[in-house]
Amino acid sequence: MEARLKFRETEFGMRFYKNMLANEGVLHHGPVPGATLELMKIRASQINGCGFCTDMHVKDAAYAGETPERLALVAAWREAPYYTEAERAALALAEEACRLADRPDGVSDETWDELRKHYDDEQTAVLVAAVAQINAWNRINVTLRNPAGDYDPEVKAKRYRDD
Amino acid sequence: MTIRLNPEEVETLPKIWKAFAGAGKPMQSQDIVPRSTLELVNLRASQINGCSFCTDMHTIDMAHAGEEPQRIAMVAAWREAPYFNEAERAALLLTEEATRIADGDTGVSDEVWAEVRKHYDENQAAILIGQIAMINAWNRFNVILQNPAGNYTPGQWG
Repeated sequence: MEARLKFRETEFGMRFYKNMLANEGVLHHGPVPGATLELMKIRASQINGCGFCTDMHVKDAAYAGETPERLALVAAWREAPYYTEAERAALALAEEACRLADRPDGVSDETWDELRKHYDDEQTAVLVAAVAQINAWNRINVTLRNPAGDYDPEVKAKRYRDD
Repeated sequence: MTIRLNPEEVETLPKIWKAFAGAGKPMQSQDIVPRSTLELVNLRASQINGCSFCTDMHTIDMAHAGEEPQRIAMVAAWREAPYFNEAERAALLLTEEATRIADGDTGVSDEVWAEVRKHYDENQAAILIGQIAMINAWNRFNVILQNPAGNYTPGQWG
């Protein structure tokens, strides 16, 4: 398997990618636990069927010490005992914000109210941005059929240490 | 989280489950399709149906049988992943289309069926269909009943 286009080797792709990575840095160093953000990124990537992003975020989460049970149940988290109420609110947001297509209500008031029980304005802003950002990555990697499997979590860990 | 109908109080429920478990026996007892492929089928359908109980059970069974962690982790987004062989990919395709047959979906396409038949003979294809039908049935039981995940021990249900 090979990506349809070597996106990062185009002049545009190089500049765009740099800005997207800068966004990732802002998200990573923000006020939401990294484990919560990884759960949202994995769930969005599963819904969007993005092999590249799912591979990456499962590896990132495991590298950060996430448990196998929590990783295995992200796709079917509702009746699972492994997630806090705050994490469940973030996962519900991730699901609704991913499945926007042809749905008049987008993110429901119920989901939003539940979110706001657990997160202040700054944290909520991070969560909204995180869902938007992972959906953007999913679109890029699914469109390009970017193959999964070669991702090394140490690369990102080093980048964040150096930020 | 508690199950909506308690099988210890509603005596019909264990009887129905026993009959359903019996229907699953032909897929289990014969090694016509690799067990690991049938578990991929179980897991993918359970993910699509959002069935926590079945997802928990089958990921635990897979790990117990020695399945690679990254293969388990990548079932939900298997297409661009290098971890699945062509026969497994055909089984996953069939599982996805056969699980998403609700209103407006087109059922199982000729392309997917042809891909399945490249890798599986008639008996093997029958096993795959049986497995997909059974796991979708189990998903319905457990999603409707909101059966909580988290207490499964490998081999608990035979």
